[in-house]
Amino acid sequence: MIEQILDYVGMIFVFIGSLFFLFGTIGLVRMPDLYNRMQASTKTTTLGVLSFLFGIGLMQLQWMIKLLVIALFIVLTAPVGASALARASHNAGIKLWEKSVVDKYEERKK
Amino acid sequence: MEGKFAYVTTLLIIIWIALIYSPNITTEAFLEELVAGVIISIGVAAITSKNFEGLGIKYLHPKRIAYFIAFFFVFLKEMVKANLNMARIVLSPKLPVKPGIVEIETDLKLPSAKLFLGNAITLTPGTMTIDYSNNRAYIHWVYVESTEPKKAGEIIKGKFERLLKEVSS
Amino acid sequence: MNSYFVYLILSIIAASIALGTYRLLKGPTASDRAVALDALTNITTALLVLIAVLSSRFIYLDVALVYAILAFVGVIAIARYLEGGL
Repeated sequence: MIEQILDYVGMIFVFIGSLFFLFGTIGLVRMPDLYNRMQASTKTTTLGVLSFLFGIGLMQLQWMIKLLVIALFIVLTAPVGASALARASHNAGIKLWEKSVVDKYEERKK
Repeated sequence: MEGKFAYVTTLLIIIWIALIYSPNITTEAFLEELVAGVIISIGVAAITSKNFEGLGIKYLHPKRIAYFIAFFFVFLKEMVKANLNMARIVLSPKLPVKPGIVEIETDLKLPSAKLFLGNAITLTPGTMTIDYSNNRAYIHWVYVESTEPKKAGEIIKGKFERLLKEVSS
Repeated sequence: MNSYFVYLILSIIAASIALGTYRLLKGPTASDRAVALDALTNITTALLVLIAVLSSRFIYLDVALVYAILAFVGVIAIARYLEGGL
């Protein structure tokens, strides 16, 4: 009985996770410049993986510890990678979208 | 110094146990793995523990741990909110964005606290840390509400910074 | 797991991978491609875990973990390269 309920709750989490993957990649295609794309894809796919792994863990309770280790690792590293990539691209001279309102980072470099 | 070494060793052993755990492992195999893990953890901690800052027994005070757990839950809540917000932006036909890079200041001193603040900012509503220089952070914002460092800082990092200050001070 | 549910999940993931691959192939700059690759990596990690569940092999989770670690190292290496430090 309880296993059935956990199974269904897990399915809901897995479904939400895969929907967030879809939103993230739609953002990746639609957003106008690199930095906005990075925001859309990094945030949504990170939460997507979290939700997905948690859902699978609810289905297979014995696997939960390992899945949480993977999830923790992704949460800790995804933003670091995104920041490093954003800074490197800015220093490599990739411009913001022409309708951007302000760029304090560019001003600092002068 | 000694405190730091013990701290890193314990942390590595906990990570090792989480990695070797599997549902139907025999006790014998588990003990063998555990001995190997303890030896490797001590070796790694002996080489690297002097490079870590902001570690030590004094950071295990119950009050700090309670504030860190509070930080974690606030972070999870903000992360879900951020993602719903991002999904709304991505799916709306007009694409309501007004991007820009703003500058904020932080009072946090410890490098690890700054790292946590930066990660939390990256994963929460419409903001992404690009660079730190000393106590200034440069944040890319999908929908810029204010370019004033004080006001922008209050909107972006308000809650997180207060909680992290309790943890790290 | 219900097999219809598995098909539903797999089709959503396939659509996301198609969109990500579009940006990976088209992306005007190298950084755009790197961002697309990063998103695809996260999706692939989830997919590897799904494969582990479907074939009920615990050991496949290690593959997902190592894949996530290597992807992080890869992104950092690309960032270092773009900044001229490699």
